[in-house]
Amino acid sequence: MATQTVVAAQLLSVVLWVLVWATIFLLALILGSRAGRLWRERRDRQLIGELRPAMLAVASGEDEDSAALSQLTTVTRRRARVVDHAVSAMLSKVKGEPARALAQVLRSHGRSSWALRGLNSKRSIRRAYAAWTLGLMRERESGSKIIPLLQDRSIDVVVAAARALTLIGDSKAARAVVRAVAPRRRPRGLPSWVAVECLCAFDESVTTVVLEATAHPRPSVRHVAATVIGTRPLPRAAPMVRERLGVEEDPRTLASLVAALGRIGGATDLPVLSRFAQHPDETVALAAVDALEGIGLHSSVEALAPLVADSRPRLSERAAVALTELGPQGRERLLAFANAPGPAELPATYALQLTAMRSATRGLD
Amino acid sequence: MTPAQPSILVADDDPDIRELVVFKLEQAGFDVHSVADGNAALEVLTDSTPDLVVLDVMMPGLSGLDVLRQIRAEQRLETVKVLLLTARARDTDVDDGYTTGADDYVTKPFSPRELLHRVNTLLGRGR
Repeated sequence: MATQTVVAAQLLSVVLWVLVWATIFLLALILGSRAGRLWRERRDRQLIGELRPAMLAVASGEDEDSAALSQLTTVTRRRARVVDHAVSAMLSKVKGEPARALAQVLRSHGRSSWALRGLNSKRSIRRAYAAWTLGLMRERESGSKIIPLLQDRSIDVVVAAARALTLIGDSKAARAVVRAVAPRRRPRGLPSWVAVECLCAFDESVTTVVLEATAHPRPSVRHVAATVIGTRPLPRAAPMVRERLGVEEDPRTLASLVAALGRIGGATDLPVLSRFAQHPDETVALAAVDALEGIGLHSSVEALAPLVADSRPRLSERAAVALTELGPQGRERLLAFANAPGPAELPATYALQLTAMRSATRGLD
Repeated sequence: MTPAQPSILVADDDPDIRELVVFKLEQAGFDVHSVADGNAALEVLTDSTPDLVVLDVMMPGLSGLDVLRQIRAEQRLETVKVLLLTARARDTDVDDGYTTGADDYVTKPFSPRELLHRVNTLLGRGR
């Protein structure tokens, strides 16, 4: 019994020692890696610090004799890594000639071929970074190599590829972008705002793809197509938008179609938009109110005025505010509502007060 | 006697953009002061009246639009021109900027050369 107790105590002591040493080792590892990272960051700051004025001169277009550019392109390999990091960060913020000059810095350090190799990497982060780097450098000829990444198994890579194609502006990617919104193999598709941004950055040749997408079986794709039509805008799509408004059932897409018609439609569309302003789905109704305001015709006033008395507060307020934007005719109607007791009184008063406050803030009163 | 250079306040939380804008404007001969957020911008504006403020919209603390509202509400600052420099590029964002009282609106990514032209125009300076 006594022997067993001694053995147990010895075992416990060994376990405790192991635990203590493991804790010390882990703490040392954490502190060591943190210190290492801080040291590397400090060293990188020092390395880039000396070259910062040259980078700012290139990025601001103040490098007329290209002295700063040649300073950045002829750095040692160790400095090149740090310079590339800083240049990539700056590249996403400027456009025009400075962006082309900064891309030249990356190209001179072999970043193009590094990124092209990275598109086939096994690591998703490497594929995403490679695509993004090529996009930042506006490497047009790499577009066809980035397009397959729109079907990548990692959504991060898909987003990076789409954003890279946006920067490159390669309209050949339009069909692949639409497919990426509703993929067959992946549960998550390309987020709609990324797809919209991408399709809006391409040239007019994407119109056919966008028009086809308005009749896609998946609502997410139809929503993207309708948003692109209104955002670009694509006036050629007006007949298709009118046709789709008669059959579309998805409220989000319907709202985007209504908004699009507000951008590309005309006086003949006012009756349709007025009808959608009464739609039971508030998002659709609000989009119609905005569209009526956007068309901005005198007859919009007649379409919007009854909505000021709508039982939905957001809709009635929005309609009242829209009337303030439609000139003296709209304001006269609001004054009449504000002076007569009824459901339109409150929203009309709110809109008139809001306009007065905005004018006062701008010092126009 | 040389006339004093126009003074410009730059408020942007992105150090890259801030440094770049300051560099470009200083090269063009302006007297430039920069801050990293909206509160700091207002602090500077309590003691001084720059000729122009270049404001980012999305900043920690007070947003660029909040700062703009305060500028427009202050009679002492009524002559200050405000240029919004922001990544918010939707039509409604631009409308909001102008409605709040901005004199000009530039979206990011931006061309430093174009920014300088806009600044010169706002300050009535020839090229």
